[in-house]
Amino acid sequence: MKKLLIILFTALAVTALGQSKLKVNESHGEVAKLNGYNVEDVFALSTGGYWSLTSRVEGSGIAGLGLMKMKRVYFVQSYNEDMNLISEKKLNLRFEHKDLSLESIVQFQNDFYIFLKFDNIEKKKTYLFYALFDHHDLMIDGDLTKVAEIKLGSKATNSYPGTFDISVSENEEFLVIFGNEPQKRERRKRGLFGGRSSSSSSDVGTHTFKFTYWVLNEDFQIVNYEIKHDLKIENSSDKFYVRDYAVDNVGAIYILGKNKVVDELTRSEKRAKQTSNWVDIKKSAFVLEKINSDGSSSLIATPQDELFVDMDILFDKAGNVNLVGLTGEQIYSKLVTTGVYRMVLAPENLEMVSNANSEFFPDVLENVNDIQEREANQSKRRRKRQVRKDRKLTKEQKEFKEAAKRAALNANFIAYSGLDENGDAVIILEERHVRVVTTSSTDANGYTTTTTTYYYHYDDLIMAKFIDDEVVQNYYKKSFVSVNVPLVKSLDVSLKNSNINIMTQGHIVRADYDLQTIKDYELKAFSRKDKVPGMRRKVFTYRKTMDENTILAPAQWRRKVMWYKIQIK
Amino acid sequence: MFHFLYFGCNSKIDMKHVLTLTFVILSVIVFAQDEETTRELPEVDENFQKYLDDGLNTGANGDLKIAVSALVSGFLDVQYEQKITDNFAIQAGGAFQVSEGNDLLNTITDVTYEEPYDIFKSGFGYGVTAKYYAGESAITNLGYGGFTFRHRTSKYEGVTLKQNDIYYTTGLKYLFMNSLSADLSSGIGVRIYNMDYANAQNEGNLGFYYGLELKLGYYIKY
Repeated sequence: MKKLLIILFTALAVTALGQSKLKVNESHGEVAKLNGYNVEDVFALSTGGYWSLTSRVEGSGIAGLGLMKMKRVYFVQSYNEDMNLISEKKLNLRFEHKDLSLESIVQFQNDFYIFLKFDNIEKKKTYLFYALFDHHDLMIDGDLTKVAEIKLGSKATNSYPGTFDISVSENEEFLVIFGNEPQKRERRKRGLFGGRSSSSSSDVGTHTFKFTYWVLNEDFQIVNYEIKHDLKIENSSDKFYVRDYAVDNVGAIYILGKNKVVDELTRSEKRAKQTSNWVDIKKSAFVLEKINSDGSSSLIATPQDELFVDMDILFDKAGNVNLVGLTGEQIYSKLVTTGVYRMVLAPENLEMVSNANSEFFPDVLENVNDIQEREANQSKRRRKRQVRKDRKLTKEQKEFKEAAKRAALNANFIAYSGLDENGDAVIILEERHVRVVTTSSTDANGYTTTTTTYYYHYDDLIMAKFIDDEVVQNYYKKSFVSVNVPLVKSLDVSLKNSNINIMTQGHIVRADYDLQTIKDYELKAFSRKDKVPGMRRKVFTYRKTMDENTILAPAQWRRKVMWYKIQIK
Repeated sequence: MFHFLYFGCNSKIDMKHVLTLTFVILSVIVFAQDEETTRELPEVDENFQKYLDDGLNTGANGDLKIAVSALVSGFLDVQYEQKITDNFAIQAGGAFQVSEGNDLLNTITDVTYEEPYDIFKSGFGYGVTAKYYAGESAITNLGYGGFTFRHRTSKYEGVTLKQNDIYYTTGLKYLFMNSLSADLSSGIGVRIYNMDYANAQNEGNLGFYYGLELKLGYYIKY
């Protein structure tokens, strides 16, 4: 009887443990030597299999004199279902004897379009062209069509070059091109002897920011456009940047920008305020402007009493605009994330329909906040020493420490935001930080070598979901370090059947509807222990979630590439 | 309103005028309203060639140039570079020595001639280079690598110096002022030289070659 009970208990435990783990199949294709070995993107073929875009830098010159001319060349590869290489081709980006540069490849209306740009020195313009890309024959199909243009910036180091951002609307009926005109770097105003002469709050006023955009419909007709659109913001500083932009289901464009008003304190102001900070963040709000196809526009700002750290625009099925964001508090000179926020706006006039916000839950912070974690693991002796140390802190330092305990440290950006089938908003945060370690060693001949290593940390996840007016939260503890090479994208998320599937570089995490149950799987592919014949080492810098169940990730070593295919069963 | 304006005039002509005027005013108002509500939107343009025309002769087939750096060693060196494919080009040239000049490498490596053999008479040279351009950018842009064979003969009073240079060259091509070319390169390799004395035993040796070259020219398109 006793034995039977033990067996029964063991079986139950194994079953329970098994349930908390996802079933995942990890396979890989054969090792291939590619001409283009920097993986840029991978796409699924409608006929089965995949195709990828890779690049490499070519060029020559007089290395001894530091005179080198380099150029990025692109290659396309096709793979079968098992990620075995079928063919590789060089992508020709030369038209009329001119070298064009690749801007992006966009999937729109079941076709792939390649966007190329050209700097015309004579006309002082940067032109953007598109062409259909035949993803079966892996070549550009037909001629180019000019679609957008911006001013060509100067090559001087004191200016930012102009750029294009190309994206597809959520209903996949519109394509929006956002032209960022080249900008001169503003010289920081300094007083005599280079010190801070006055507080920058004097720069606060009505500022105008210029944007150019093109909205195209499925027939590639421009349906909304404005060159150098003026966005005027009252009580603004010149510290404004566009965080996100989106197109709704009728072709109206939404521009979301962050407006930060920061007082840079002078030495006397700092002394008068008795603060250890050089900055005082007075306002950190987001401004949303909607521009309709007829040119009319409306503008709203997020509540002034909250300091917003980050924000995204989402559209629900009813066409409502969802602004999901992170709220924060100032700790020394930085803003740290202490909560999540959602605001639903009517699309016609941007009037608020509803809003919800929440601080991070104490049980989430207990497990994720580094200060709380450290304090929980302290010995009695250390804790006593800490209490003595804390007594010496100033009032301001104590306040900052308390605020830091309430914050999701190192998670100041929304890693993912989306709306599920029910219109519930999901926000995922990931703790990220870089640790720089410099070591010096001296050899027998007395030569000293200094090595700097960058450790890119991708740690714990915080999940938050807005179910109507309620907010549910949970966390997932993980740790991933990439040495010297930062990840292009550290996580992908898909929302399906009310589940949240999070694919990170080392883990797959699945949370249920109300985030109460979390299942995970630790990927073996990314482990160094998982050796592959023909590859001395494996380096991962790229990964793409093809659908809610499939992830592709190339393992690379020099010119050798081998694709992993990870499928959630 | 229009009746007030035309009050007291001939009624038949007045009516016609009034109607015309009313029609014109109404058309103007309607037109103005249309302009207010309709935005002028640009169209995509399939004539992409005109946007790529920047006046630069990037599709050149040939490059006729003078080696400016060769003037230092007294050679007037004229070269022609012919594009073979988008990656390959062949360059050939002939030179005529106009003065004794100063071959820096010979000075460094101590290939000098004692009196009375230092009176310069004449000289000539020729060379050929096979070039590989990275990024399919032959022959106007980006860098190149290649192999060069170059022969130079310099005649002095009582002695003839013959030099054969075989070297690996890397360089950069520039395009400026729409069609002018600049070619800056450096080469490293071997120099086989021979001194034929009229009244003495010939001398020959193998040495090290390093050179820096600058050529200016004109891109030809046909």
